[in-house]
Amino acid sequence: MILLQLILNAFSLGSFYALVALGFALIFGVTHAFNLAHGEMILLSGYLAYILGKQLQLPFVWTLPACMLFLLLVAVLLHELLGRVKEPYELNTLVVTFGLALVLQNGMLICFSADYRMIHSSASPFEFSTLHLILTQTQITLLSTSLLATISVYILLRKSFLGKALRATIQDREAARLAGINVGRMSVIAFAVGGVLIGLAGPLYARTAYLHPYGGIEATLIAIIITIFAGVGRIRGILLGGWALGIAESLAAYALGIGWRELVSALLLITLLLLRPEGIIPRRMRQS
Amino acid sequence: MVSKTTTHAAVLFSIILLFLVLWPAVLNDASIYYRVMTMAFFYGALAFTWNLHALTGSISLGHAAFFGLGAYGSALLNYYTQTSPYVTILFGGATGALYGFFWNITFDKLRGARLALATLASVEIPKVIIDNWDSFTFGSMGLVGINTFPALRFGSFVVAPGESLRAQYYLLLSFMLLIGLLHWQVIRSRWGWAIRAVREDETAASMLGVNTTGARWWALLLSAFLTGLCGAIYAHLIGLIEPSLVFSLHISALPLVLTIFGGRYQYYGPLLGSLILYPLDQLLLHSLIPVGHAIIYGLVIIFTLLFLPQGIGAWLQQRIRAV
Amino acid sequence: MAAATHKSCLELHHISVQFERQSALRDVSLVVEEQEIVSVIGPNGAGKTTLFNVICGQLKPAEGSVYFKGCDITLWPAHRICHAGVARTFQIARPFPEMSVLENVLIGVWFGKKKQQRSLFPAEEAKELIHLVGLSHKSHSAAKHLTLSEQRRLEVARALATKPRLLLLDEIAAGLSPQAIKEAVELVKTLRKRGLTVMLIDHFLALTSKVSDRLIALDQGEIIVEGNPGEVLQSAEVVAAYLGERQQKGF
Repeated sequence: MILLQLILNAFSLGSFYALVALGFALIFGVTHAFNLAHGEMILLSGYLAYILGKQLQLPFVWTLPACMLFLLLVAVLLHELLGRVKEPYELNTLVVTFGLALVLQNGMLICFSADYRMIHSSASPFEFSTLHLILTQTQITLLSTSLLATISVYILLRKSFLGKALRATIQDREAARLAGINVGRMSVIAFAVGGVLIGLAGPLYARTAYLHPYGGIEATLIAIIITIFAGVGRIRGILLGGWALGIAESLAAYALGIGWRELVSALLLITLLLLRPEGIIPRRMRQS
Repeated sequence: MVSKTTTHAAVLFSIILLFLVLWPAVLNDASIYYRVMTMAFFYGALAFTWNLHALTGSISLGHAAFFGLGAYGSALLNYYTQTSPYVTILFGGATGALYGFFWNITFDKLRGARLALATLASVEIPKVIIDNWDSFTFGSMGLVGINTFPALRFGSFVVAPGESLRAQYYLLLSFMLLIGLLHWQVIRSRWGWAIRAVREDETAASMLGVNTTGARWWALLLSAFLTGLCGAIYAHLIGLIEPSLVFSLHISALPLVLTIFGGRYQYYGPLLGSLILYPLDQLLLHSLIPVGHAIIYGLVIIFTLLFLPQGIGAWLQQRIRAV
Repeated sequence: MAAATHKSCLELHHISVQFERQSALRDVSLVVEEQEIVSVIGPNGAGKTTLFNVICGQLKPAEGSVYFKGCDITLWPAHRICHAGVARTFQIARPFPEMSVLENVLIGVWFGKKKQQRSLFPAEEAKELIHLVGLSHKSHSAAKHLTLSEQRRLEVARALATKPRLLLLDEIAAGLSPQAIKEAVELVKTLRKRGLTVMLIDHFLALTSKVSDRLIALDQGEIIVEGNPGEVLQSAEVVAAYLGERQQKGF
């Protein structure tokens, strides 16, 4: 049935969206740095995976940890760079990373040219002929990896001591500092974990969509939409948001056609910005 | 009493102006110079129009919306009614202003990073609509063969912007200077001080009787109108437009980079940025890195914001004062 | 429409303000007469600054109305309220940082009144006010380079530049030396002589008792006591509020 296929596609896509958003949400939640180059960093990771696969004949599975490590380093470097940014922090990091996005875009254009590239899966898809469902190997990888990553982050934040410290910093940076938490270190950790998640998303992205230097803005927009929708520090909200967006986009693509997809994302973002004008408020209010 | 720095600036400006006016006469083949500098003047004007809004303290990442709407508004009106481009560009500006009015109403409560994001997203609305409305706007195929500006006759003196590179050069130089003058006057006026008060502390300003909403709204409306006007001029000069071109991120980003580099909030900032950065990019980098030379703009944003937040103009002033 | 009866300066009728399901102000009503000096006291978080924010139009109340000289200004935009004659300073001084002292005060002179009532000699007025608060020697310094107490004085000059009839001063004594506080007390008394009505928020109770005609005590968003300084400061409710004990109403 078409509906079932749509739902399946939406869930696999949605889970991936959640993964894309997770890195952004963590970084923004802890540091309030707006990383507009988020999508470009994912692309960077994707291109790296592509190169590793093509030039070094590295099996796909091994490109994942390589990309995660590389993007961890990139993210920590970015944190250092943003350390010099003055008030207002949110707006200035947004503009600086906007510049970074331009740098990465053009850098990738120079290195990889504007040709579309993709990591193709050699495995054949699973077919469930009775239900008229096709489940590709990539979709399984996408779904399982995204869910695994999301659950890992959830466990990290909820069950570990470090996670508690991170959550405290997300809720109220000043209070966390007064409580003795090293917020500077929290920021680095947030960027590091965010970088790992971005690194993970890259190769997966390269498997599902064509890599193109200008494709980053889409991913950034998705990350921002889901982050605002979920509210800060709500991992379940991110997963839900990812699925909701996946369904909304699939429906829109089905009903309106591909051409209107960016409009739907844009309208969603504007609506969310208007509904939550303070942007991203911790759910638990600080008792004054 | 006129300060020393002002006289220095006036002298410097006059020298540069003189150079820009007379240099082409010296060159043998001025066509490359004309092409690059004409666009430098154009983007300079665009930077001035962007800064009019930035003066309120907002960063817009979506001015391409006004630009594209101006381009399409003018080109389509000219196509369907054969009205002279000199008139339709004003309509283009009005189209931009209309969208600016939409921004004012919808984004009134947003500030800072959230506003910047909203402006970025808002480019998609006219872009996607125009892209898909094939029957009226020719969609993604674009509009080609747009009528250029007809020649103007002043007695025996003919100015043909459509054909003559030289005419374009001097016309755009004048246009940029005009917009720059307007920009300067806004900053110096009472309204300009209201805008500055809004920028430095909006709440305190309102407590002192400044109509902060009015100041912000009119700044954006003027900026949107003039940006639309620029878009319209672009359409008639280049002759063809398509959504991915006139609504591109590049169009939003370029005036931002030029102005931040030159110095936001300064009356000369956009001018400095466009006269230094754009020719540098086109003449030097374009030949070295044909594809992806726009990387310089990203690097400039990062460098300026981290090390020279007031722009290069203020930095130079401090250096000169220290001497 | 319930209008104010006699020409009081300021009247609040049943003002309530909500912040995220918390009541910042609950059914607050008060009257301030012309040329009175009234102080609002109370522990942290009692709602004092919120009260000022409502009067100035920075915040719109969920319920209730504000009358200024008989006019209902509850829903007026802040700048219009300023034109009508209400000015304020902030708890944490917020001068325009990049502007000079002179420019800061000029903003008040230029925009404080509508076009018809605008001053013909703005620079002179500004300079006179700067002299009044003792900042003439720093006229051309950028506001961000001033010390905290200088910034506070700048705020007063700037607020006065709008030619208010009612001036709201939020914590002008905080962090000041005893000498500076004496000067502040004198300044407030001078203001009354100039025909102003003044409302003060201050934690420094010695200041408020010396200079005020009346004290209004707020706690948890409600008025718990009002009267002359002596009565109020000795009342059981105020003592308890400052000590943090919860009191039942009708004690």
